[in-house]
Amino acid sequence: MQTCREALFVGAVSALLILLPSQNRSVEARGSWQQVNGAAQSSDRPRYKVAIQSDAESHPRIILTNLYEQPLTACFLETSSSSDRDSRKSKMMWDSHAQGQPPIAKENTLSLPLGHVVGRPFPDRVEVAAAVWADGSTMGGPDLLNLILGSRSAQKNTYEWAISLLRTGLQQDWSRAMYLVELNRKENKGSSSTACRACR
Amino acid sequence: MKSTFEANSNVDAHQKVRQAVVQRLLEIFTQKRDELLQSMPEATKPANTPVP
Repeated sequence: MQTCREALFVGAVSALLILLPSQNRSVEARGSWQQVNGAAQSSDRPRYKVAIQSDAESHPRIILTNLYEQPLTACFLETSSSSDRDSRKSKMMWDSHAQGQPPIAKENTLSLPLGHVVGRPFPDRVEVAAAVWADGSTMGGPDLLNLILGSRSAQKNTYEWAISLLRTGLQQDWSRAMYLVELNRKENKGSSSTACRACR
Repeated sequence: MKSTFEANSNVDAHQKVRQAVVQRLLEIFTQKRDELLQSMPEATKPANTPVP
């Protein structure tokens, strides 16, 4: 029943968008607490607000507003089109650590360009499938959270390696050439590009 | 880190300058590592994280 209501709502919004092409438009969703540190919790307080915004002059964008006290540090977004018969979803990951951007503080927004596959209907629905906040609380399925957290774990390991290298260098009073030798050795071992960000 | 050492060829001339550069890198990486640790759920953190 809920799905039917949502489908009807999205259909009605889509019809309005077709009727009013020159008006600013947005399709909005609000997320409730679903999972905190792996434990399901129920609450009416939404942690975020997400919408697709577009107008006649600019490319459509996803606008995600963090409503939680803690800064939002990563999220997995899913977009789809109500007119796509196959109900295909596009996924997009954003991670402040991976992208070197500041986390999204409470009431602040993240603005991302809305991707569009040529030949398919333009997305008019957006959902937050997973999210991670600065206090370590999470929302979403374990598979998507593991993608975010796995990437962070790899980055953390690289920083720990870099810290260890620098401490050794300090203790043994390495020259610049010694540091470069060790860094080149690490690069030649074939570290992934993400994990070796600190090395560069 | 590599680009920092490549760009600062003068660090070998003065030990204090080199140590200051390394110390600064240590501070930056430790802060980034701690931010990552803090933003991960408890279950994914190692049980005994070494104290810097």
